[in-house]
Amino acid sequence: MIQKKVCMVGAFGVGKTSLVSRYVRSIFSEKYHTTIGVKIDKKVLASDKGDITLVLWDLAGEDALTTVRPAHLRGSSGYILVIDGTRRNSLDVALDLQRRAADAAGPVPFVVVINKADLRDGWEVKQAEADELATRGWTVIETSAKTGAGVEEMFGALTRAMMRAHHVNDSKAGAVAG
Amino acid sequence: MSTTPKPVQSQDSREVALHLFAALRMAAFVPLPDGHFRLLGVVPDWLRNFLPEAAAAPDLDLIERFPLIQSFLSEADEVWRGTADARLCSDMWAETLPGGGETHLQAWAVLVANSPYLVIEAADALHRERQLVVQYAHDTALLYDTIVRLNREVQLAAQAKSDFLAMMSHEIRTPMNAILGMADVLAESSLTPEQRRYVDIFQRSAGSLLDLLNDILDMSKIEAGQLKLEHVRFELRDVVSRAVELIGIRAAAKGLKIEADIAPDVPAWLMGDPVRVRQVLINLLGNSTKFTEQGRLQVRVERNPQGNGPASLLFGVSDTGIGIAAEQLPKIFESFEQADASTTRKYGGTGLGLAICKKLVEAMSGRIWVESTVGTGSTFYFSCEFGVAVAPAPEKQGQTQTKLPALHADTPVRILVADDSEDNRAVVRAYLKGTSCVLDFAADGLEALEKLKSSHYDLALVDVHMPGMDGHAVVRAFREHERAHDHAALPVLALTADAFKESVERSLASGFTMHLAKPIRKATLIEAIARHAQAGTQVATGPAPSVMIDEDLSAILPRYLSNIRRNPAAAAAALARGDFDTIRSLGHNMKGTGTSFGLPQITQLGGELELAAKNQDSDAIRHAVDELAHFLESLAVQYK
Repeated sequence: MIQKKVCMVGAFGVGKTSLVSRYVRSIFSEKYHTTIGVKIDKKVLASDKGDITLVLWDLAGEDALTTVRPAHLRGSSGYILVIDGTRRNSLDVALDLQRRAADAAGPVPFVVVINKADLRDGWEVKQAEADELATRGWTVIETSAKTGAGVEEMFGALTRAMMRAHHVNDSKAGAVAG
Repeated sequence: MSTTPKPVQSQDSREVALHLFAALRMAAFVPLPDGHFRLLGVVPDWLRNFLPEAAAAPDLDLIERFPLIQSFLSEADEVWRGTADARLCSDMWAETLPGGGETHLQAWAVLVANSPYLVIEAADALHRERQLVVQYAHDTALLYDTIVRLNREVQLAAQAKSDFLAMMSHEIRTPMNAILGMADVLAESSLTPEQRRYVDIFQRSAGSLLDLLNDILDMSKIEAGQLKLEHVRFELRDVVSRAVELIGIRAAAKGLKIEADIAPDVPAWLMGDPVRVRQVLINLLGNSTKFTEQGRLQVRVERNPQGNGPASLLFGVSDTGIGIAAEQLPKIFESFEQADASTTRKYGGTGLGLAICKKLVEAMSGRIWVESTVGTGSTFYFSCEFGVAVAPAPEKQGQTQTKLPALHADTPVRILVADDSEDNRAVVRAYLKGTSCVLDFAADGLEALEKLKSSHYDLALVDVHMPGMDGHAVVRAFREHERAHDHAALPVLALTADAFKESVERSLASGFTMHLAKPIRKATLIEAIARHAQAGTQVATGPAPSVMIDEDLSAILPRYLSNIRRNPAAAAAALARGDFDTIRSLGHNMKGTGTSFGLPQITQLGGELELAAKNQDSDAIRHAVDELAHFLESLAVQYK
């Protein structure tokens, strides 16, 4: 069985836990419960190469007193950068986190999600800013943990990217062994 | 009998420690070389949920069961190697219980007597406590973000409202200029009595509309917190007389007399905002005139018995009018309130006047109230706090302002009128008909600039808002041209429908000599032209000053004068941004250099400017800048 560690990172209150909850348990709660430390969930996906287990590390959101520990990001096969569309500041936090995540986890695939698409009318993050992220070659997906919009797509895109990286690594390992 | 506790034996100590661990909901492990961890003592109940195999096989694969331990181990190794603190805790993490729900765990790396230990603690209580604190912090941070966002939105809305009002003010004033102007011109023509009555109504209605516009602008500025009070020296008697004179014309038409009385112990000269004091007096006297059919009006000023110091004053405006019913008194100073609806029908007005008075008086650290008896009359009182000012020195011989000349001299005054509105060009043409002014016209900024550069004028009237190149751009480009060619500065008067103080300051900063707000009355325009027209046309005020300068200075004087000619605009720009240091420095420089170049007038004006800047006296600065601009405009140098 293939197992992949995926970290959810972003500012506090952007909806990381809600996205995992929607994806793993298909539920959403309106009430905000801040995450302390780490919550780990698993999701098993079937593929033609066998089952893939995603181990989802939902890391406490960054705030003035909480910084993501690089140790949590090490060993990740990919990560999801979560932005709250209604809070412009969460985009800045995400950009900063991307640099640190790349340092800690290396050049692994990641997906940027702009969450709270159900509140799109009140977004502070402008379309031009989202477009700018896409021009960097990043995968940018709008999601709503509340409605479920974009959630499967988000994990699906990351899983496909991680599996592509997995096969490339396998090939390299095979070439070395051969 | 001794009460000292009996020391436990070593075997007992280990058991006690393990029981203590269990009671604290902790499980202690020893790391093994193969990556497993050996549990010390019995399996705690809470751990059995996650590691049911622990009782049978104490060497456990904690990393497989608790993935977070993996990321903690690199830091834990530091502790166990004895190179870091002897105690380190991991982040908390959540584990799902088999029957649902979660438990929150936390790991500790401990080094005891050079032996490494890993302790896992079931930390639900600590988690709950920490979550409450962090959640409160997050809720507060989100609330703060919301407040900041809403505040930004409110500021943007206020700005939008302010911009809208400025635009509306401009849009209304532009046609009002034509209406009032043409009404004035019409009133001066030969009319039948019936036609004269129509024109009179025409003028009065347009005047009322303008008053209303000013009231609305005032109120919006006050509500937006943009009301800025002046702090300048003024003579109280002058302020009171002007208000009485203005309303006196209207009162006299109704057969009413206005008396003014200032108590002898009231200081003659004060520091404050004379324009706003006059505005309150005019408003109250205007109301009194409106609601009084016979009798008299009275203004009284005395020291406020409840005030602080000699410049704390109490004003009273009394009338013998219809009076106000007691139940209507409490709301009379609220916006859009009048005594009753029938008042509006009979006497007109918006109900903004007294609300504006209240705001203005409060801004001057005072209060306003009214005492009234129906059928007998009313007395409006207001208090204000001022500073006491020293009376200015008497003006020197020859500096007394002479009455401004009428524009009937034989010498023609060549004027360029640049305005994109054909109606407004027609108003100026009508106003100046029969004077010695010779007019040339430009319909846009580019044409105006070309004409200013290529033709000779004595004065220019330039509309600020023109399509393409606006008045600011025209005057800036023209001033550059003058400097480059070492020409004397032409008086360029701004014509604009913008009545805000900021607009006036912006005009002066751009290089305009003066700012005339539309609608411009005929007398105002003629007075401004007579005051600023070039030397050649000011025959009535005497010849231009011709200064004899030593020939030795001829090589350097033009550059010096070119520099000095920048000072009026530089000082006006500095005043607009409240930069008194720059003005003081400009004045100081002029004071120190003028006489050396044979121009003691520049030294004198520099001294005045420096002193005014030191006192932060905006009016005195404007006066000195005007004098300097006027001197430089009319300066004719001859070398001996």
